[in-house]
Amino acid sequence: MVVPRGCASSLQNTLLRSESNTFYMNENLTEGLSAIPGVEQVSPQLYIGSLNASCCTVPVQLIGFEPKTDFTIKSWMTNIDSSKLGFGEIVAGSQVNPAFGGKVWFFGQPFKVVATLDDTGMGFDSSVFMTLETAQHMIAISEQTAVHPAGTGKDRLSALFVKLANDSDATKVAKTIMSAYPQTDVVILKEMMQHISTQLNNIKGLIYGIQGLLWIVSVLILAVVFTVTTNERKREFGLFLALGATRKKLESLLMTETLIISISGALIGVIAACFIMFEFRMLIAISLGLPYMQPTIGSTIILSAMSLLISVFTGVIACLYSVIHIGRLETHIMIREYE
Amino acid sequence: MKNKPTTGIVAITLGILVALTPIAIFPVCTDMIELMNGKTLFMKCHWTAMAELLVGILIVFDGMLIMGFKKHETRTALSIMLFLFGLTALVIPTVVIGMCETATMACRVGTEPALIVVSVITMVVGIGNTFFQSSSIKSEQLVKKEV
Amino acid sequence: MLELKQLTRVYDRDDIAPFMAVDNVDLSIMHGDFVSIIGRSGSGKSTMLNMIVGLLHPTSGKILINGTDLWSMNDKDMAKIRNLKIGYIPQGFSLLSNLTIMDNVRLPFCLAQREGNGIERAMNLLEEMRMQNLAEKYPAQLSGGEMRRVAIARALINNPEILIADEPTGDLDEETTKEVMKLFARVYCKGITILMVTHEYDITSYGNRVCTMSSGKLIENIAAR
Repeated sequence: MVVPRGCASSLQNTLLRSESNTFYMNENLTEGLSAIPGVEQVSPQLYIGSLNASCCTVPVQLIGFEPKTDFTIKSWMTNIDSSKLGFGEIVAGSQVNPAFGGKVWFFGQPFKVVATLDDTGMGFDSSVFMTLETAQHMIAISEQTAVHPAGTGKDRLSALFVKLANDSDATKVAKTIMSAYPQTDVVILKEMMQHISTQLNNIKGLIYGIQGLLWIVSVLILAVVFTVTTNERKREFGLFLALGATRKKLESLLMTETLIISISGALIGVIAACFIMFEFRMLIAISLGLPYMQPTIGSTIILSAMSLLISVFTGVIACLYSVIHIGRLETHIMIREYE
Repeated sequence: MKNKPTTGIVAITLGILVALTPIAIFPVCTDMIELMNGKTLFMKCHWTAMAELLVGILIVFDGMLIMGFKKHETRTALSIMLFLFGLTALVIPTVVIGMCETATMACRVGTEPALIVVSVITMVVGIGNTFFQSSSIKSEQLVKKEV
Repeated sequence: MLELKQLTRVYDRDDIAPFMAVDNVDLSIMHGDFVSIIGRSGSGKSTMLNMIVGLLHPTSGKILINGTDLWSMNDKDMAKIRNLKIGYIPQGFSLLSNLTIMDNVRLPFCLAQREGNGIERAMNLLEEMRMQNLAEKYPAQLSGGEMRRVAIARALINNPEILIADEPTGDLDEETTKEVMKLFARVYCKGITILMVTHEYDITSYGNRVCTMSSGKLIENIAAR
């Protein structure tokens, strides 16, 4: 992806973090880039941030693209033919209101929503897509009508997406472009994704570490709680033995109690966690600052089942010491309580 | 069976949460929007916050009454009221008044989910205590019958 | 039906000489006996009782129930004896405070894993003792005497061959003591063997045999028969 020098991070934030940005190139480098060895196709895009933000108006990213040469955006529009997008028509991201069929107003002009994208977890969710022609027309209108115009002049472009031939070396081509056009920055998709992947792995590692610690602490705390409560109930257990319970019966009684408590607690915890995770999904996405999509129902069920199993297992482990301890206390339990 | 003050204390806490969530914990926007004709208006989330403040205060009072009254029948009625207050706190930001349209706005990101969670907990506590108080009434009646 | 042969229990104490709580006790109890064992606190009566019921391992000697050595059995068989053959009434407060009176009475029945839920049987026992109205109450709502009667009902639920009671009137007033002992007398009249340990001499007259325990030794009072 070729952008004006200094705008590489703006591009990444637009694509990944739903930030709204505006930046332009000073000249059209499409032909020049197409001539570089290793370049298969070049497609221009135009980025316009719709409004400067006061607290409660949410900026929408306007993205103009050339349907004839485009090879990136159309892969997100599987059910519509992006080449048939007309002048004044837009495709809206999943979080942009209103939905399909309605009208959106930008710079005092209405635009018709012909399709809505599904959730992507990326910046596209709060973006609006239109043809390059429509986008450039929007800039022209903004000069006349908006307090803060989107820009001046015609034939504006923000970024050039470059598709490489199969056997090309991305780093080599990037270097060639930057030396030929020093006024540009080049973002290699693979590197961008790697960076995100590293960040995600770091977060994952941190979360697993915290989980592991929490698990150990839980087992210890539960073990202490079970030991204390079992000691308090020595008299009761002694009575069970005196009335004819076998040691095995007593142990299975304790285990059954533990299972009931563990399963009930685990169920309440899992249901509460799923509920809270679902409700606060937006806050999670924004806080992460990374591409985020809500887990599917299937993966949520699998995760919940695993959590349930681990919780029950934790309870059983914690109770094991108490069960063995009580099983060995046989005769002394009653005696100390009654004499 | 002895009456414990737990439910009352829990209800008071939930009431405080309902009241303070849209004002302090996950505050809604306080700015006003300017219309084309120059007029300024509060947004929907402001009115939701005001309504939830009122409902929260009512839940706090309900909790105090639950703590104060000892009879199981009275507590059952107050628990049903708690459930209904929780339901009110749930439908105000989702159906009756609502929040702002855009999903990334502060009121939709934090305030609405927090209110939903707290109001659902309030409803669960209300219904739970209703059943608990009813079973206490039943066992009281059983003992009276035998005597 | 119950025979003690040279029953001994010694407690090891680290710095002091070992303490002989029960010293070579011989006792033979027949079907239909009501034996009272009397002695001061610390004479070893409760220790002996705990060994008979199978809760404390003797240092030496034998406990024969219908000819079978109790302590030669495994845990399962011993538990069965405790559940079905012996009705044990422990000293002091022995009901489970989180169970209703009904559930407390039928607890041994449930432990035996028999058919049915024991509710009818428990109700019959409570009705016999005129306590049916207390079935749904909890031990905390009962008086001392009522709790003792519930403990007796619980001991009877599995139709035991012998009722073993440890200080059944220990913490009761005179009137309640009489009530409880009348109940014992009714049970005795139905043909159930009773072994009772007490420190009150007055109530030993309800039985047909009296033994005295002192410093771990048991001596039968022949004149009291």
